[in-house]
Amino acid sequence: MTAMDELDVKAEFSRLVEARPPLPESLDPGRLMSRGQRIEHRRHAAWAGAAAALTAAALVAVTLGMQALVGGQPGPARVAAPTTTRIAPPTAVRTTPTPVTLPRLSEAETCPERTSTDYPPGTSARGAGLPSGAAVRAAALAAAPRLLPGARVTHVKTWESRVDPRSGEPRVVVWFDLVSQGGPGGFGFEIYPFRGVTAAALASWDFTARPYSNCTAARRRAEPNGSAGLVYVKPLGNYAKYPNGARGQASYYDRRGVQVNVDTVPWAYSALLAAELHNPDLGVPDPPATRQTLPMTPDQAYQFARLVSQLPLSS
Amino acid sequence: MPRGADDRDEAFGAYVAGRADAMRSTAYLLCGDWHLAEDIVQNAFIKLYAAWYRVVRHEVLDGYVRRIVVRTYLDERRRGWRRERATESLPETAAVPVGDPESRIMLLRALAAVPPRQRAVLVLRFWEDLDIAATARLLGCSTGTVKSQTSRGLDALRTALDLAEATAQNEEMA
Repeated sequence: MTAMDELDVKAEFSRLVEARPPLPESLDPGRLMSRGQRIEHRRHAAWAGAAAALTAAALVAVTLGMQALVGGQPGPARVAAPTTTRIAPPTAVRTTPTPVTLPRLSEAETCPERTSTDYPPGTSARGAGLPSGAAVRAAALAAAPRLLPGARVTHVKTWESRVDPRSGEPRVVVWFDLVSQGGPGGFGFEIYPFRGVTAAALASWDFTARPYSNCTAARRRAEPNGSAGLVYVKPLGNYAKYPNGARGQASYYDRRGVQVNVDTVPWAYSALLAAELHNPDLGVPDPPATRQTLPMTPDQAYQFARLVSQLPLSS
Repeated sequence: MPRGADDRDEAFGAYVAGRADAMRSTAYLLCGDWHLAEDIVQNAFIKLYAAWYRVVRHEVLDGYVRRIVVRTYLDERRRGWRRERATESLPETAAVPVGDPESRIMLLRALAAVPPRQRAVLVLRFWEDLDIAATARLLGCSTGTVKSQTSRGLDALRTALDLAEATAQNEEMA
């Protein structure tokens, strides 16, 4: 092959795909139909559930209104009140709101398209530990009233992989919905172990790698205990083209060998869950933005990351 | 079972059987990884199945699947959260050895150096044979953008090929 002046792109592409492997079973029509049918059933169930929840909420509102009209006497509303729990599961928390300046989506940096970021030489995930998904979930929900006053946080989904199908590493992923005054949003954890490199060195490696160095608002943090972090001050993404793609990110590199990434997005992770077919790696387009700001500041995301990095590890 | 479900399954099965290989090749040219290409195409076909009655009315099956494939690829590149590993070698596949594998590796590396949107434009125009207007519609941009992305993409591919060829020659000499 030579780099020709007149590049025959089609011929080059043909050459690339001529050595393709046989079609895998995952593309068998019967298997695809079966998965498609499961999704349809889930959608129907979700619609039915949403309709039931709306009906229940309407009943509560009507009952409360009637109660107010008759002078606030206790009545059937006290019986109906727990219906709220069905809309927000028992894991939800709510506290008094306090003013926080949240990044507006339109402030998003226009970051050039990213390239892969490998690990520094000598880094390995073998034998390293991770916190359990259940512990991450519990810690985040417990900290939410303090870190996100006034917000309602609901657990959406947890994945724990000993060998992540894409990266080959162990991984924990936990998604949450977050409803605050700005509307519905979400935040999520992605946790990887690392060995063979210090936390500070790994943070520096990521900081100097694309896409971080192209986002001028990225800040590096050094913790007194030898851990380190990265925080994006502004949402990442090109708002003009992808208003729903804006997001804030924070990473905490714990000295014990755990990297905790936290992102915060202007749409609910529960909306992404159905589209992703319960597979966090399909990378389908993000749902439409449902608010004009990110639901938390990147610094708040960093606090969540730091908190979770302190959890006990198991290999 | 909803009305017409049997018809859908039969038509869907026939469509997948006929187009899965081609769509997977398109996805592979976009992402450079057969496993990821399979994931992307699987996702696209499942969505097609769920939207079958809506899509089939307009007889735009290929366009629908192609759009999902390209957007999934671009969004994955844009997502920028999970760590991606740069690969030093071709992904492990059960491929039948055909042609010159070294030159394919070189070409794959060169293609990986082309920015994602430019790469998508090259694949749509030169592999899928879409014209400028159709490419612009699929990517949601202007025809002028498609033209400029095509030009830049070709430049980037030529440059990357030159570099890959020079590197290979140096390795041979060493």
